[in-house]
Amino acid sequence: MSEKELGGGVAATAHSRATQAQIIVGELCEQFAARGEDDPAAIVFFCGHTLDGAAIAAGLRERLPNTEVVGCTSAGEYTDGHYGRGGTAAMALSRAKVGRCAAALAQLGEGVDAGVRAACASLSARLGDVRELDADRHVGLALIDGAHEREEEVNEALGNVAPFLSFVGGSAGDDIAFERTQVFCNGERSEDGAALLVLEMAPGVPFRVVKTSHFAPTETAVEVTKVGGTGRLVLELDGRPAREVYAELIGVEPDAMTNGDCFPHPLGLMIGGKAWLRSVLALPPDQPGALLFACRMLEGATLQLMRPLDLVEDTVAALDEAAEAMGAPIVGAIQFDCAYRRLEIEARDIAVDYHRAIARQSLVGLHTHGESWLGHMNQTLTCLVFG
Amino acid sequence: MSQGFSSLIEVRDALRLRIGDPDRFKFIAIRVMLRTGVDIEAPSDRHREHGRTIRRVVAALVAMGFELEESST
Repeated sequence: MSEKELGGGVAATAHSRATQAQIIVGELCEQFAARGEDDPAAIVFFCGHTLDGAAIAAGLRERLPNTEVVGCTSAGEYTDGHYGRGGTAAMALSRAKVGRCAAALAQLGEGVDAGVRAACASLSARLGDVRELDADRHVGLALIDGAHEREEEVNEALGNVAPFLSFVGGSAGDDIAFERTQVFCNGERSEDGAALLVLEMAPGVPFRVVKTSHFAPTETAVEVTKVGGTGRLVLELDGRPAREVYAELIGVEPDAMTNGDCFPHPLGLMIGGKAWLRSVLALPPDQPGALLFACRMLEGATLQLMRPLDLVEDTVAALDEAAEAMGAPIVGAIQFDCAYRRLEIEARDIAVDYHRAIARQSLVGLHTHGESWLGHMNQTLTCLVFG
Repeated sequence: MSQGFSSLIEVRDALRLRIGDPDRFKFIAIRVMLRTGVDIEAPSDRHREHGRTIRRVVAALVAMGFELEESST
């Protein structure tokens, strides 16, 4: 386990380095109680992938039976007071901030659409038809399994059920192995599911969904011309072998290109001037001309080559912009923060700078295997902030 | 549902009429772009009157519960 101290937060976040679920639950509840949260509306937690997250969720639910509990495994987790890997980070959402809420687990193994619809039916039974919920008062969180490549389908299914409702979230992690991730909802767990939590914010509580990435488009664009596999394997760009074209764009020899060469140059699907990033995940050795992306690619789509800006500055600016849009300071944030961002933070040795810069309010976050809001994306920070 | 749209401009205008609020329209336009790669707010010349593209966009909208009528344009 790797953990760092930042000096402590002042709101209802909690952190544990323990490895036994019973101890973790006790430490989290003790920290919540010390901050006056002994009956929160909901708890969101993120834990190391080797921990027994199901037992943590069940234990929290047992201690707080009126509280909705959702969580998932991570590729690193943090609060306003700690960051690291292999621990447990959690936030208790106060009833002063959240009026009503409901959580449900979508099991995806028998079909994504059916699983999401069943979960949303459960949410609707408690909150009213989710399709009709006022998007100015309601927002959803979606913690999606990160090893089965179903994130696009989940986002589309959520859009089919509740097209005007934001579900912000990300893909559960296993420290970038992409082998086994888990999501948790009250007493249930799934290795192929999505934990959904819909919040009805209390009257007068402002909130925003933030989506930001520290990349700007260059003037270079490519068209996706041939896709294979499950849609994430790109065989051709501009009608030529994808790896060859991409290597030319980023200025390296195709045969010498490594994953590390790709991180600084994701491709961006530009929508309204904003980039939805698609990152190269791997250079499959058995497909020498292909690129495996961490996101589904659409044949015919034109994508911009991106160039990196400053990660810390961009993140702070995005949070400041959200606060300004809310007309109120941010007092809480739930962050879904790409694991590739963590790799960059580590490579540049800026972890302390980054976490100090974002820890200006009560905060819980995880490093994800992909980020969600309306769709699935990479190398991005998505988050729910509230005032 | 009408399958008779001859351009994405017609689809866009019918959707705008159906949704009303411009912010909500933009929200759905992003969903469509992410699903289909097609910008319905400002369709490219390549996509504007391409039958298969129009059908793909209309299908995405129907999946979200927006069945559009040509007569609403």
